[in-house]
Amino acid sequence: MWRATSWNPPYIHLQCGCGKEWGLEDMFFCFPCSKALCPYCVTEEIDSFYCRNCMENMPNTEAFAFKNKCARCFQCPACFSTLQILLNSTRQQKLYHFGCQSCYWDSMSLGLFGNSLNELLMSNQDYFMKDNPLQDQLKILIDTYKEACRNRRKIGVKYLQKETWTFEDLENSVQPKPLINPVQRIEHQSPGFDELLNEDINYNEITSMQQRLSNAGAQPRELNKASAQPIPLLTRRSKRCKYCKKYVVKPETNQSFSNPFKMENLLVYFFPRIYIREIKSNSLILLLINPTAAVAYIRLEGDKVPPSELHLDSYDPVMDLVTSEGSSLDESLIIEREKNTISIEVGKPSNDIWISAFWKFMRGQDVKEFEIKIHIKLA
Amino acid sequence: MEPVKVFYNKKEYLETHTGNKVCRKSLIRGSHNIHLNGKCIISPGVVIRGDLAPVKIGKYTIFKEDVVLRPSYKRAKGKLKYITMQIGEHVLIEEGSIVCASKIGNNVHVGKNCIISHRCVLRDNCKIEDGAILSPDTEVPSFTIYGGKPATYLADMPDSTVFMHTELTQGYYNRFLPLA
Ligand SMILES: [Zn+2]
Ligand SMILES: [Zn+2]
Ligand SMILES: [Zn+2]
Ligand SMILES: [Zn+2]
Repeated sequence: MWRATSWNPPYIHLQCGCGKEWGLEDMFFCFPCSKALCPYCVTEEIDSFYCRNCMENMPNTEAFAFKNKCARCFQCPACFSTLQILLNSTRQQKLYHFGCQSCYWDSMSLGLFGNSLNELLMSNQDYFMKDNPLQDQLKILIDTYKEACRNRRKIGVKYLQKETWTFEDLENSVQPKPLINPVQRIEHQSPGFDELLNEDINYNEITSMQQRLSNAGAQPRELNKASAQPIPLLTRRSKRCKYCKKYVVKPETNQSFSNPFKMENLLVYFFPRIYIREIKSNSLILLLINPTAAVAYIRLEGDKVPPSELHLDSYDPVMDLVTSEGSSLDESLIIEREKNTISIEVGKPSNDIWISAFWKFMRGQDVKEFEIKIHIKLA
Repeated sequence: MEPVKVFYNKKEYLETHTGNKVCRKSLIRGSHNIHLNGKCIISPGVVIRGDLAPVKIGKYTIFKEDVVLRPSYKRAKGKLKYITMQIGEHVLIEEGSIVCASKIGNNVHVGKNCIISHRCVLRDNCKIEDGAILSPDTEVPSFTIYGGKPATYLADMPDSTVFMHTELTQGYYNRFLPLA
């Protein structure tokens, strides 16, 4: 997934409880835990599969059967754009084949054509949906691994229930059992340098790494052996908090709704936007903007940061209405207050500034408070 | 850093009562066919071919310098027929892009010097990278990034896209101020 976090200084990042730093845009908020979460602190679940070309939703079972690929749409092995089905008709017969409109790749030379649309799709499925030669070996490995996991769990339960441990028990629990035959060394003569040099290769025809890996089963070396590829499916994913397992983000299954989410607890909705307004020789002017619909409070703590509790008014741009609440305990820290924005001055001990922020905001009738570390990097 | 304010010369811009800011140095053909829903910014050098087919543009849509909007055509019964171009709300199209899409959803970000070919459909909350060329009839799903020549799927957008993009275009409009 593409991240919105920028790593070009000057930037302002937030530190998740796990220690990683992220931009505000990439973070989530878990209400039961009152915790800001980074993308590594959420677990993802696939809700549905869809094809990016025909936009068709696919049930999980069907997606599994087609190896997470669309059965009807194909992409060009050379430039990865969507292939069109072309009709090459002569007096004797009609021939359907795949063609790329961008790079003029054609499936005729591969022998990939059919007298009808169905025949073409079937012939490509034969060509492409066939099993990977390494599949059986991989299956043995996966089964062995699963078996080992199951055994370990069983052993764990058995020994946990035991009250007294003997040396024998310990030995049994630790003793590794040969689960799979070790890999045999194969005598293989790698080609010499001279051989490689004298090999007759048209380097324009050699596939690039991306082209090769897009077809992991065959990994063709020459482009003229690469075939039309079914388009991999994309997914809609919901995200759960890693700590309490509650949902943080849940996509809308009905795509006709205008809001794409059923639930979206993103930190951008609840945490103030922080911008640098001005960098002075030994101080920094920060801009804080309250995105929530109610008055919120912030307390900053850090090296050369005046201890303070400040309030941020809320602003409704549609009604053009500012909700205010008197003045903060120490209004002198605020350089400027305008609508839902305040600007404050903090000290600049070095180019790396760490500030702890205690943020208190309203959500409906509840007051939520949490602490987060802000990292300001100037250069 | 704090987002910068952009100042414009009041004499060079036409302002409508719905808040559209249209530069006089843009080329707009068939203005009766162009529907601006308010709070749009049309920068210098923008070309909108409303004479070919109707162009509908949603709120807070920003066209930077030298963007070309040209409705796409369909071949029906051996004739070329131009079809309505629909552009949603909070769409940002950067400098020098040529857009012939038939439909653009909400919160779409099109980078610099892109070519969006005929009959493309860009769904809500997607992004087209700088310099991308979308081949005709491409459909870009929601929450994806497309890029390259020809443009293909690259990655997914973060979930905060809806909010951040709305803020970006609204902020750009609010910081687009007349020179005092
Ligand atoms: Zn984390
Ligand atoms: Zn498909
Ligand atoms: Zn191609
Ligand atoms: Zn939680």
